[in-house]
Amino acid sequence: MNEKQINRLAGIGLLVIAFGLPLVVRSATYLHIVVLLYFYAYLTTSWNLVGGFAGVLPLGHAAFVGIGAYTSTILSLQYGISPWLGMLVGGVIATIVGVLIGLPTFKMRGAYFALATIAFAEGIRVIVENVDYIGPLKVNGPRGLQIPPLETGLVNYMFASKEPYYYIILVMLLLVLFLTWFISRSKLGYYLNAGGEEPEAAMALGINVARAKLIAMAMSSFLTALAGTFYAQFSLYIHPKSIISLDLSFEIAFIALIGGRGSIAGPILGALLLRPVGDFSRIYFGDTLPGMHLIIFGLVLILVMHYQPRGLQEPLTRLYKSLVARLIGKTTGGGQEHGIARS
Amino acid sequence: MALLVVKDMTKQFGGLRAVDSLNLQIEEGQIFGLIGPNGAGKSTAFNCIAGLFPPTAGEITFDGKNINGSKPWDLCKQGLARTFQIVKPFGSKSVLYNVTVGSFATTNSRSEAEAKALKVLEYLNFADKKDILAANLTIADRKRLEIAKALATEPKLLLLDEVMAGLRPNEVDEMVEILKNLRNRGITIFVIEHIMRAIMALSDRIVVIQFGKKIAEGTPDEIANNEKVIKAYLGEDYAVA
Repeated sequence: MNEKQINRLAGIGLLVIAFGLPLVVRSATYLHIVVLLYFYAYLTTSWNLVGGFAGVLPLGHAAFVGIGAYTSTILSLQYGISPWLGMLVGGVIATIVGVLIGLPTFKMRGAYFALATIAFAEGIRVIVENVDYIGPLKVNGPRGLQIPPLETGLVNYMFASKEPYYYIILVMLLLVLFLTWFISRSKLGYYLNAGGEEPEAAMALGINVARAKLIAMAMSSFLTALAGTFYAQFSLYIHPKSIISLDLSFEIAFIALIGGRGSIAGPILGALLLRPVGDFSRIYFGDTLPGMHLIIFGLVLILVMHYQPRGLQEPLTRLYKSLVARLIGKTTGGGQEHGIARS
Repeated sequence: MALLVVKDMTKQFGGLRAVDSLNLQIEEGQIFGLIGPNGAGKSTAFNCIAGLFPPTAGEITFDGKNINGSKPWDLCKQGLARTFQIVKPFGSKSVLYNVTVGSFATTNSRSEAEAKALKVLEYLNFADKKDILAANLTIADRKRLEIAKALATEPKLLLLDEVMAGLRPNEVDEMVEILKNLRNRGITIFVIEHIMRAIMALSDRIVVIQFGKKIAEGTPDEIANNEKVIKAYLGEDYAVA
């Protein structure tokens, strides 16, 4: 067995586990937790396109989740349009908003960009929270929107059990992971990385850095909005606090930073670690110390930034590689040291 | 044919005139040197030509086209590449990745870009370090990486800003050889350098500037014997020599 075969085997193994999980986990509660874990992994992977590769720190991605959720829900409630179609409309609107945010802000550096995105997202939340109607569209202020039960099935994007949602978000996650992998190996990926690290040097090498970042932002906002529709259909109730909140924007960034921004595995690892922490802290401290999960995240972030500034993916990738090397060493009979040296 | 013509170029920063009506003309295939004491405006002149900021006045013509205020990325696509005095590697990436970023200027395919980058690395005797992270390179190798990145964009004119500063004497000799080879391959080179030994050995023609103004122009021999240049570098006392 060589390294490639082992990688492929590990990948297939993970896929089998992911697709087979609902057959083993019968508890709706636990499945719900896993669905949200995938949801966050998906959001963070989408965020990573601009926050990781392009080297900026957007802290307002909840705005795009909100745009996606509200667009598809309003279109479905008021005009009877299928959420699937509404999802795409929401994606397009989020793309436009994302580009409009990016145009003036990508010239800013560091903290200023982050602050500008926070301001934008908060602005959108305050608007939605304080008006009942935007033009003819009913957003219903802070009370939010309830999606009444329709006939369940794929057409209405509505199901009686958790399993279909599980598979939908799993497929979405796999697709966005594949997209990220593809982009990271393409010209755009190289350009984003270069522009994020040394903008002046990148420009001198023929890269229009601002344009590359805008393209990343457009894709990221589109993909993020799709998850908004998923969330609306999954929970059947959306309100500004739940999906346009700063908490959500921050949690995405936390997951990315702790897992390792700019890497493909980072968002998954971050979500795998932080979501259970968040869920259990909400279960045990929810009454006495609400918001405890954010404090824990902050602590974890400080520790990770101190000891592994490139995120948890780095030591874990190294560990995996040395394991693979050891395996190869055994099967080829070459001995351990030999195998490690070769990796 | 003149590849680069700079006419009456002036760059003003507030009250400071960093470059003052500079005129120069670089022929195709030349190695052209720009020297001057610290703070003379050499890098500012480079930055204007390379599009980092537009000149306050004057006209820059590259390959027959006016390029005043053109953006760096457009200039790069037209065949004008540069290195930075303070090296700017993409530190978290490998040497090969760094150079591939440059070769993407000429192609959209990753495999093709990588193949081109590898060729550049081989040409610079650098291929053995292709997998090393750029942040871990020695200063000499970082300078070489700067050149490799710029070369990968397949330029007609290469602007080199002090690529030999900080190199050991034998490394300087190696760099001189590399640059001569590049010229033989048809690349025009415009170079700022402080190491006189190198610039005298390399250049076909040299311009000297002081306080933003041109004080001399000529062949290396003419420059070495020019009284104004000696004054600028060594002070009034040495003028008689």
